[in-house]
This record gives sequence, structure tokens and C-alpha cells, in this order.
Amino acid sequence: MGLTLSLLALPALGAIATALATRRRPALAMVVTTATLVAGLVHARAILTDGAVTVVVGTDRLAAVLAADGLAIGLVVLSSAVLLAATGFATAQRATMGPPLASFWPLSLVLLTGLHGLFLAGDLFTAYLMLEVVAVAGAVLVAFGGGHARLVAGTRYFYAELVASVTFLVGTALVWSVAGTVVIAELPGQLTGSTTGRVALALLTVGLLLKVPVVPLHFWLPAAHTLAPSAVSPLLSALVVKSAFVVLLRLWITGAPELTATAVAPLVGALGAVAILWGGVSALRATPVKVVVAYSTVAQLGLLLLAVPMVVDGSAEAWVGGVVHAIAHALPKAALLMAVAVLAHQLGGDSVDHLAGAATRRPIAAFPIGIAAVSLIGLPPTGGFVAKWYLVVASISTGQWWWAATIVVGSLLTAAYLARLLQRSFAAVPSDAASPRPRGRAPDVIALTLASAGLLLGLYPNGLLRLLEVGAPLGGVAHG
Amino acid sequence: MAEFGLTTALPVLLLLTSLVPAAVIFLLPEERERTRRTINMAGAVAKVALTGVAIAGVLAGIEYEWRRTLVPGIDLVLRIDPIPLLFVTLSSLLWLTTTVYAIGYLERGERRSRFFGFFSLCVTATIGIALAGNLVTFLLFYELLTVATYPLVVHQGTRRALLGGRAYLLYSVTGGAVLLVGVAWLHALAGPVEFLDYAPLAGLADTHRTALTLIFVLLVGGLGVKTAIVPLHGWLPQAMVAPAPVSSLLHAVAVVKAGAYGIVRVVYDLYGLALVAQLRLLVPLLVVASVTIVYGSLRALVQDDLKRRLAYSTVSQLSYIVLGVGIASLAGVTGGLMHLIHQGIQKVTLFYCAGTLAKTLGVTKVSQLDGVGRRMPVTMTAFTIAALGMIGIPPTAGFITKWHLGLGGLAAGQGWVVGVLLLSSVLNAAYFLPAIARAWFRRPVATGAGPAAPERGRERDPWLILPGVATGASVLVVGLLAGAPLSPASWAATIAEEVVGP
Repeated sequence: MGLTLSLLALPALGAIATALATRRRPALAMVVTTATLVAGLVHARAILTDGAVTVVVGTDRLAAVLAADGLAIGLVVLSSAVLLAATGFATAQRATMGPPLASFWPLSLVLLTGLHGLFLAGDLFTAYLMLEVVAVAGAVLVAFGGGHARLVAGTRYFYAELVASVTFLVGTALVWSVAGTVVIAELPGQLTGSTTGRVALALLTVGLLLKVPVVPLHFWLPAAHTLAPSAVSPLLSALVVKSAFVVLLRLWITGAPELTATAVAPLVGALGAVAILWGGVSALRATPVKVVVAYSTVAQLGLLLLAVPMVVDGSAEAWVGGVVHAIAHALPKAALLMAVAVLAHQLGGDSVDHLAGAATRRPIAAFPIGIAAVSLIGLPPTGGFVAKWYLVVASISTGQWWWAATIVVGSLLTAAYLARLLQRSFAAVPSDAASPRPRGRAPDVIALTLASAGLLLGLYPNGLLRLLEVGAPLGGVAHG
Repeated sequence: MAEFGLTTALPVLLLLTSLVPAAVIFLLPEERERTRRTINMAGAVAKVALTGVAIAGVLAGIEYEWRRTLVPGIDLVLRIDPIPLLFVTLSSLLWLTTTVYAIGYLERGERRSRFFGFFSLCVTATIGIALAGNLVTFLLFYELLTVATYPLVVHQGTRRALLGGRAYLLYSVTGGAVLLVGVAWLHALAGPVEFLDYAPLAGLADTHRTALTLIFVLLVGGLGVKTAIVPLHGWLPQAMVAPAPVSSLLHAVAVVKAGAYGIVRVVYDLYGLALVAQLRLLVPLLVVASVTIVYGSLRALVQDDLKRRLAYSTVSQLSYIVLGVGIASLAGVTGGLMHLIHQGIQKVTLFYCAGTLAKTLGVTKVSQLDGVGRRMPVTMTAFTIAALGMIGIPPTAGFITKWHLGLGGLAAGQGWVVGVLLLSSVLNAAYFLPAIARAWFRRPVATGAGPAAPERGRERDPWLILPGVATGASVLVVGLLAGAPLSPASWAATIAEEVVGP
């Protein structure tokens, strides 16, 4: 219990500490994040030997429930690790890209607290609170770089989140009125029987789809993810977008497993398919590199939703594919965003054309783009491949072959828009190219490390698969 | 896991002899010329030596296998079986010669660290493809090959190079995706299947005929992209903009060979010849191969750019292997398998020579070849031998291939194959002989394109000349000694007996 709570307490205390500290904030943030990461790893070990734990905080019907299963802990470890990298990145960049505002350190730790809370949330009310924490911290992080555009993007992001939160809150209240509880594990069979229950489920789902976001509710994402400071974008694209998906997965699979027979799940899958195609085509057409990457996120999120109809059909492979994708996508995406930020700064512009000759001029910064591309396309041996493999196998074994076709088309689109970045990087160095601005190597190395981690995940996926199996709703693939 | 001995370590060591050089070279500063050269050569020589150990071991009946569970139910398997050994021998020998050639070919300051890093990675992937003991392992290295080759294709960074690279990438990734679907479908249908374990699929032959047929189409279609089967060949002529050592790698050592080898594995070691025949898929395969052979030759005929002509020649020649796969008789299987080697040594020689001509004389077109034989006799002799091999004139390696394929076609009751072979030989002659005749019998043109190099001393750089001499000579040796034990031909014959069965 203490261990589970420490995953929330450590970053929360760290946020307060960095807010109050007058100096050495980066070091303090690094220490706190590292400690959280270690706590997450220790927790992972514990549940691998002893199984998933459910922690109830408080008493009676208002108690908060934290469900520390493999999925939650896997994502907790992931988010601490990515934040650690982002903190390192923000610190290392100060020399070249100006100091980030002092509020980055406490805000990012607030964000981490909220994310951990969401991953662990076992009841809808805790989930609602944590969604709010993430929304506020996220929106401020987008806007705090200053400037009108950022303020607009941050505000739009916040409004979208607000609408989603309110929808989610109303849904939660309706669930309470129907079932007398908001603990997700106690909901099966209680919601789908009545109109109110079904409305509640629909509201919760729409709220979460807006938060993920899912096409056509994605309108706020590209601007927010693109304009956010370069240490913040990785947090948004790699982590924040996954948090609402996890709640959605828990709500559907744990809370309403009787949904199998309805047509709603295929609808969610179809939204995912649209996201994959729409995001892919938009990424192909975008000019600024960060916008390409932002639409890539929209498309990759579609892959998560694609898993839903197959999971609802009882496919353990689809569940594994979906959650591995949620984790595997984060590492290359964060690496990609860091690498393009470094290159945009050094090569003097943020459009795809500015990447010309990057592989020759700045090989160590350009290399992560290549590795991340391999991961995001889903080529072996990467974590992205493991996810894609399970999703394709699930699609074929459940007879829903059209999802496999969509995945293939999605991979080809991914290859096509990432090939644009690679093509420019490998182009000859333009004759009029100014010499790159000087900088330290640390940001490059951090991006390279994250990208390589995505690669290692594909070479040694077994540990992750075993962890995800702990408390999995459909069992693991090993015995499936 | 089994105890760690040479029987498990050898397949991994074969990979590491190029993977470790790749990693080290990436980290090496551009100007460390000597160190890089030493590492490259040491890795290539070590790989050839290890291949020797593997041949001796397999002849002595030792089974080399390395295995690690990737995810539950899926193992990564590297095994040294007879067919893999054939491919490993080809790649490791040609990697050695191509490394020598590339060291001679690339100028200083041409981003050699990046080049040789990806070059070594490319060969690592090829060895992995060769040794893969199941489809998932195969797929893993097959995609790695795509990724590792791309930076080599676009190495020069020019607009044409980038366009070639894009075509290569998009064709290959699409092919890989199709292959993935086939592999995943097979996995969903039959569970984990390993090469040379025919029972799982044979058991499904009656109940899942359609599924097995469609999976076969997906697998061969996906592999057909790298094999450059018409109409999936479009990337190959475009990719010839790459530097000559890369073309050698694409056309002989690694890329297209990986596709053809994959088809060989799928037919012989996954489905088994009997099952493919039972599914009535052999004749379609023969037809596709024949169309490709003729089409490739016809297109080669009209290319003036030397490397482009050679590229279409590859399209054509590679399908001899596929043709052999489709002929269900002892001689046919033998002919297809030996052409894995024969096509490799012949085509690599041609590309070495074409590269040397371009680099030394600035000659890149067939129409510029006038008198080149007198100016660079050694290079042109090697070129001529290899071209005669392509045509199939005795006693070259190519003749032995065509002889077996023809006999095989007759034995399998597919006599029309002989017609295809004859037609193709005529076409091969039509696009190679005029070029050779120009080189030897016409006077050198005084206004030749390219640098005005002195008449003597053009063929002095051993790094550039010796690889072509070695592989050119091997075209003759392999043809003359086809009956000797351990020649590609007798090796292929031994395997064919296993494949065709009693």
C-alpha cells in the first residue's frame, strides 16, 4: 500500500519542493523523478512475484481505489522514465535554447502525479480528479512558453479538456445514481441494463474520446503539441494522450464486459481506423516537422482504438497489442520530438526542408529520427513491431481482417510521412547552409537513448509482456 | 537453454563478425581511415573463416542451432542447415570482396563511417536472413535489411539518389507489410512453424486449402518485391544510382538475393515441394518467373546506361532461381539452387567492372565503351567472362545453371521452359555481346568522357581491380569444376535430393 501511494506522493511532494525551492530546481526535479522511477520499478518487481494489488484509501463509499496491476505499473514506470529524460533534456538545453521558466519543474511533476493517478485509478471519481490535474498541468505547460499563439493553443486545449471533464463528471454522477458505486470493478452488469446506465456509459466514453483525442475530436491537438516548449511536447505526445485511453480500456473491459454483443465497439474501432488514415494523410501534407509529428500522434492513437473491438471480442492478443503499443509508442515519439527540436534549433528552421543534410551535419541528432521511424512504422526489432504483430494476429484470429488491412495501410502511411524527414536528412548538405549553431551533446544523447530503448523493447519484450499479464482482464498471451 | 558451446555460438558469431564492426565503425571519427579499414577487413575475413568452420562442421554432421524466446510462443532461431549454408558462403565471400572493392571505390571524405557502418549492418541482416530457422526470425532480419540498405542507396544525397531511395523504401516497406500479414496469418492458423518441419502445414492441406493458397500468395508476393519479380521490380532500376559497391550489394550479395532465397525457403523448407505442387501453385510460379525473365531481358536490351542495363539483367537473371523453384524435378531444383551462387558471382563481377570503368574512365554508358578493352584489359576480361556466364556459354557457371534448368524442365514435363531459356539466352547475347564487341574491337574514342587519365597505370589500384579478377575467375572455376565435390553445383545437387525426396 505504501509503495503504491508513494507513486503519487513522491511526485506530488517533489512538485511542492521544486515550487518552494529558490535554486537547484533541475537537480531537485531529477532526484525526485529518479526516486519515483525506482519506486515504480520496485513496485513492478513486487507485483511480478505477488500479483496485482488493489489499494483502498479512506473508508466507506467515498474511498478512492487504486488498482496497481501490470498495465498501471508499466505505464507508471514509462512515464517516470520519459519525464526523467524530458527533465534532463530541459536542463541540458538551457545552455542553448534559453532557460525554461522556473515553473516547468513543479508543473511537470504535478503532471506526473496526475498521470500516475490516472493509470492507477480504480474508480471513476479518482479518475475524474486526476483527469483534471492532468488537464490543468498540461494546459499551463503548453501556454507557459509565452506568446499569443501559445496562449491561444493552451486555452483551446484547456477548453477541450474542460468540456471533456464535465461530460465525464456527469457520466460519473449518473453511474453513481444507477449503480450506487463508482468503483470500476464493481460495475459489470449494472450499466447496460438501464437507459440511464447506457447514457452514463456513453457520456463517459465521449468525454474520454475527446481527451485522447480521437478524430474528429482531435482539433486541439496539433496546435497544442506543436507550440508547446520542446521539453513539454514529448510529455504530451508520449504520455498524456495515453492516460485517457487507459481509463477507457478499464471502463469498457473491466466495467462493462457485457458490451461484447453491441455495435459500439466496432464503432470505436472505426473511429480508430479513420484516425489512422486521416492522421496519416495530414502528416503527409504538413510542412513544419512538429506538425508532421503531431499528426503522427493522432494516427498512432487510432491504433489504440483499433484494438478495442477485438479486445471486446475476447482476444488476449489484441489486448496485449494495444497496451504494448501504448507503451512502445511513447519512447520513439518522445525521442523524435526531442531530436526534431534540437535540429530545428541548430539548423535554423522548423520545416521539413530545414532538415536538408541533417544526417551529415548532425548525425547524432539525426540518428534518433531513423530509429524512431523504424519503431513507429512497426518494423522489427522494435517495440512497435511487437504491438503490430499482436494486433495483426488478433485481427486474423478474430476474423476481423479489415483491421489488419487498416494497420498495414497505416504503416505504409507512417513510412511515407517519416520517409519525408529521412529523405531530407540524407540529402546533400545545401551549399548555402549556415554552420550549425554550437550546442552540447547531451540533448542528442538523451533522444538517442530513448529511441534505443524503443529498440530494446523489441529485442527483449518478454519482461514487459510478463508485467502486463499481471492482473490482465483477458489473461496473457503465454497461456492464451 | 543448452550449454554454451560452439554448436550454439557459431550462428551468433557469424552475425557478430559484421554487427560488432558496424557498431564500432559508427562510433569511429571520419578520419580514422586505417582503423576502419582494419576493422572492416578483420570482420570480413573472420566471417569467411567461420563459414569454413561451419562447412566442415555440417559435413561432419554437427547441427548448429541458437534459440531464444522472443515472446511467448515465438522463438528467434538461427540454424545452419544445408540451404542456409549455401547462402552464407555466398554472402560472406562476396562481402569480403565487396569490402575490398568499396575501400578502393569510395573517396576520402565521402562519409565513410556512415557508409561502412550501414554496409556491415546490411551484411549482418543478410546472414540473419540466411540462418533464420523460422519465418518470424526471417522477417526480422528481412526488414532490418531494408532499413540498413536505405542509407546506402541514398548515400550520394543527390536528387536522383533520393528518388531512388524513396522508391526502394516504399516498395520494400510495402513488400514487408504484405509479408508480415502472410506470416501473421500463418501463425494464427498453424501456430509457430519452423523451417524443415512440414507436418503442421501438411496437416492443414485438406481442411484449409484456400487459406494456405492465399498465405502462399502473400508470402511470395511480399518476397517478390525484393526479388524484383515483374511487376514488382520498379525500384531496382531506380536504385542503381547508388555507388557501385552498393549496387553489388543490392544485386548480388544481399537484397535481391534475400528475396529469392526467401522464396526458396518458403517453397522447399516451409510448405515443401509436395504441398506446393498439391496446391497447384508451381505452374503459376513458373509463369511469373518466365514472364520476368523475358521482360527483364527485353528492357535490358534498350538501356544505354550500363548500370541500368545490368539492373534489368538482374531482374531477368534472378528469376532463373524462381524458375528452378517452380520446376519439380531433381535437375530443376539443382539448377535453381546453384544459380543463387552463380548469379551472385557473375553479377557482382559485372558491377565491380562497371564501377571501375565509371570511376577510372568516366564511362557510364554502353555507347561509350568503344576500345575500353584495350585501355583496361584486366577489368574488361573479367567483365567479358561474367557476361558470357550470363548468356550461358560453356564452360561458365551460367551454362551449368541453364543446362540443369533445361533438363529439369524436360524431366518435370514442362518442356516449354527450354524455349524460355533459349529465348532468354538469345536476348542476353543481344544485350551483352554488342557491348563486349565495342569494348574489344572498336578504336578508343579520343574524346572519351571523363578524366584524361594516363594510358598506363590505370589498373594499378589493387583494391579496385582484384575483387573483379577474383570473382571473374571464380565464374570460370565454378563452371569448370562443377562436378567436383563442394562446388555449388554438386552442393545444390545434394540438397535437391533432400528437397525432391525419394
